[in-house]
Amino acid sequence: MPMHSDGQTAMTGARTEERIEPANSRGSPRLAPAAFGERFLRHPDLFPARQSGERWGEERVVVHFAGSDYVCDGLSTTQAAAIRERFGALCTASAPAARPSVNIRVFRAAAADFVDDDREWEFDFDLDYAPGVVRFAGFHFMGRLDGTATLRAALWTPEDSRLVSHAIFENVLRVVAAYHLLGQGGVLLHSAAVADGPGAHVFFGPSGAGKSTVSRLALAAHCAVLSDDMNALRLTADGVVAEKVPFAGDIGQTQETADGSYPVRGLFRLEKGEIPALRAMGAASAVAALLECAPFVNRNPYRYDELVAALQALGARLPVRVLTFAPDHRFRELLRMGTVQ
Amino acid sequence: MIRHTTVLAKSSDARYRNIGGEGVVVRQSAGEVLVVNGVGARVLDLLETRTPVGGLLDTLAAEYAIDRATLECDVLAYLQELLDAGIIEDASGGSPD
Repeated sequence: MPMHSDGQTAMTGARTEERIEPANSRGSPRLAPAAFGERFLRHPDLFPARQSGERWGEERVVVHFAGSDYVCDGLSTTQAAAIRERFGALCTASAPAARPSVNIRVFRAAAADFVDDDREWEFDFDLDYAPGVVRFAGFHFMGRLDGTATLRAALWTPEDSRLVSHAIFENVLRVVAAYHLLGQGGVLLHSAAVADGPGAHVFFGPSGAGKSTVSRLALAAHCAVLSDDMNALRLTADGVVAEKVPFAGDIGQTQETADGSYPVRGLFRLEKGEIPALRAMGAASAVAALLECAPFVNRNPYRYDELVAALQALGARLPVRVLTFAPDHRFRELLRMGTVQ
Repeated sequence: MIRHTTVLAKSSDARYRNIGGEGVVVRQSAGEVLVVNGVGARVLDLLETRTPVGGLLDTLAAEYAIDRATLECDVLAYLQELLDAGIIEDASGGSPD
């Protein structure tokens, strides 16, 4: 009996290696921070141990996307107005009890608590994990998530008028959405989702794999794009659906993208090459490839089993394949291949 | 150097799942994801039992039709690679020399 299906005996030759995507594709790659929060906080050891503090105000804004409500409380009038302007039609007046929701409370923090430097804003921050707790710290904010199935989030910031313009609120919302989706058996995936009729193709891969290129080709071919950066994948009674999240990539910042919920026809790990081709992925390789594109949750050791189970469930419902593509007019052919094979 | 008496175990930083006969290994602090084939996954499964390397080789020799010298060479090289990558660690109480 050979040790390997093709008769090879060396085990190391069959090993593949991937690198987990940095938490934010537009942030600086940073794989091993020296200590949690020290780049952003003057006293990381004084990080809030529980969700309490002085509210900025009494305003509430509910942001609805991917089947859930994100209920933001304790906002000042200025902060609430900025969130409503940024998230537009996604903002609703109330959160129906029947819909899943997460509460995010916003508290004041002293500017002196944060490292003062020349940075303006960036999609880069530190994450730290404990059982049932995720802490995060970035430019002029601290945040924590408590719970697993039912989440509660808190944000501390000294920023009033710059809460939205400096991406503080969006940074927090990304983390909260990633964990909320995971709690529902879904995943926030670094991906480009392209609508094709009533369904969608989801193209994923690390930065540079071609998500934005595929999205531009899709738009040129008159296909709608949900997002070229991040999409929510959720398991529903009807299968896996892709839904737009309000975290725009390069394309979403400049033009209108599609809304709604689309049944996913296939998941494609992008790979650049001269000749368009599709090849199947084994179950383990599929999970590994998806795992590297599940930001914020894929480094949390306390949620690893849950994440792998969610990705296995996706892979069991959908074909996961490697798509080799060239940035040319053959894009429609790729979509057809993805549909019929 | 890994000896037959060495006991190896997954490091606290590594997470492992057997999926469809293959293995997915994550080193979360380093941000690395590895996929190992069926034999590699079987070795990682056996490490869960805290069996000394000699016992692990005996089990594999009984399961796979391969000469013992080749088996030992390949398995020890694989274990050393996992050790160097920080995926497994010496759990026998001493350093793996």
